[in-house]
Amino acid sequence: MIPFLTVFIKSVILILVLTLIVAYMVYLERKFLGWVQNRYGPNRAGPFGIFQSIADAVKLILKEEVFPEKRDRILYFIAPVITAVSAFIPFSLIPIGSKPVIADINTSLLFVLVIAGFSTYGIVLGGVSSGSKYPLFGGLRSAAQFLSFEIPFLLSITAVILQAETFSLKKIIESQHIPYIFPQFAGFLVFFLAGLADTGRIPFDLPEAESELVGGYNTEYSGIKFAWFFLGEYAHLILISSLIVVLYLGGGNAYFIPLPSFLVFLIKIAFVIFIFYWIRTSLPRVRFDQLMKFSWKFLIPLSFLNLIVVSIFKVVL
Amino acid sequence: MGYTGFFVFFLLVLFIGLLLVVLPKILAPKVSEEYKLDPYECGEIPVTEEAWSRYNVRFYLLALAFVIFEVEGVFLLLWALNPRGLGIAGFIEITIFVVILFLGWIYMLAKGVIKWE
Amino acid sequence: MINPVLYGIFTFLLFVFSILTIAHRDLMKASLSLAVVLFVTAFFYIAFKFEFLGWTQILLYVGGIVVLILFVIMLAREYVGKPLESGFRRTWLGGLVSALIFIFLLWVILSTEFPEIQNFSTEPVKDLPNLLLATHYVLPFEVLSLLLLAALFGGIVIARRE
Repeated sequence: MIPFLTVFIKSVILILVLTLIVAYMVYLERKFLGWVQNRYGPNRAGPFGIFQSIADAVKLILKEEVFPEKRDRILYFIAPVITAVSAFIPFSLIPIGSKPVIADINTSLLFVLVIAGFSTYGIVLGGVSSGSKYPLFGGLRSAAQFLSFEIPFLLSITAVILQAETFSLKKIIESQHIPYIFPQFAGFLVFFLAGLADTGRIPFDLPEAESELVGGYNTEYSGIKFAWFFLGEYAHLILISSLIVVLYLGGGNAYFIPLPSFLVFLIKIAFVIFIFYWIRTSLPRVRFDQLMKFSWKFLIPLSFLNLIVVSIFKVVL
Repeated sequence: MGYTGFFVFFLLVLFIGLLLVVLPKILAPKVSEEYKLDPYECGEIPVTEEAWSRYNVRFYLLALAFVIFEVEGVFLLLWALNPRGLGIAGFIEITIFVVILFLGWIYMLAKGVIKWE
Repeated sequence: MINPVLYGIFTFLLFVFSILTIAHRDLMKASLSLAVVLFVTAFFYIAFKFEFLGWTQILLYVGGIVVLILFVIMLAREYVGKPLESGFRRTWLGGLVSALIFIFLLWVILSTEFPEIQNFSTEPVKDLPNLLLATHYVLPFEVLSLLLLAALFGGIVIARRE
């Protein structure tokens, strides 16, 4: 009973912390965007607008929900829940610091890879079940984007496993005497770009594309269901950043600097997320054909090349 | 504390997720208006009865290619667990496997599966 | 090894969604029920420590094959969101055939002696690559790549016919 209780309490704390992080990520992103675009950003709720995200959350819960007439009742209801839940649960396996907080599993990398994919499942179902054209196209685009970028994603992960010879995220961190970004820079590049596409953020935000598809898959969603998609998207962003940190930047290893490992881990994640924000402010959205070409003609050959180089170093030499 | 911890976390997240989706049913106001629940088409009355239209067959081909390369990726993952133990022989075997499937990739590009006009 | 309550819940889910897979009139929901069935089966594998098999099943079947099935259903526009109508009226015949198949399967299951797994490795994942690439499974493995290639060629040829 006692271990069960500890896990329960740890879970509650982890969920609360994650939600809080997401809330303030959104706030900081908006502030950063405001700063880059020479405007204020949120500045009404509280000093410097720091309560903006909390106000948004309360508003979204209390808001009237509009259920489009032609929706598919069950799928429309379940889709945002799938996205949010599947973006949250991999965090039970991510080694925050040196070991996972809640579940220490040997095949955790596979686990994270598989469950993270379900977030896209929810987006596609949400688009398809709304019974409206824009969400449908958003959902289809999301599916095609996921299908194209999952392969380079998987192949770059394979190269990491090849070097570490394990599926466990914890052991991958332990095996990084030098961060894998140095021996596998091409793999890192592929993983970073495929991850960027996986989160559906700005250069690759075709499923949402508010200037052509209105809001894409979440056009017909309102209130808390919309919030769930939103939350899922940001949680997914944190997940991809923490995977980048774990696989390529040495996780909680501080190497020379004497700091507690979870702090190092959080600083690294914050840095990666900052780069994601930076990219968002700087780049325009790509076209769909460019996206497909980019994945199939550039990322896949590059990830194969990376894999071949790593395996030659590993096996032949 | 392997999968037990995971299950506790999963059930908790699922519970919160479902609870908050149901919550607005109690808290949120409800006002009904004509046209409010119509599918959104920038304020117009929807042109067609159904949102569905037959879409491009390329989506299907993409999914097919995805499944095939995913299978390949899974085998590569397996090999990556023990590359040194399997030695040069294992490396050659996996290379043949990858090269054969690479032909599929070339064919795909040559046939213009990913060309979107 | 596996909690009996959890086992019961999984079996129940498996049962319900298997029925839904074959009985649901909306093809899309039927295939999504199939996804749930595959998911639950994968959890059985994982519960019995065949973790790689379990995760691969979810990755390939739920993430790949079911998506493929959904795309096929969505290509055929007339099936989406509408209940499936069958022109077949002789339900007693169908019942008879399925009862016969059920009896046959039951006979097969009951008459098979399942070998108990000895020397159960704590981490079966580690044995898999050796089994695949260093024993006589190598040839089937290479042939598999040809099969996959043929599937890709076939799909492209059928879909791109002008």
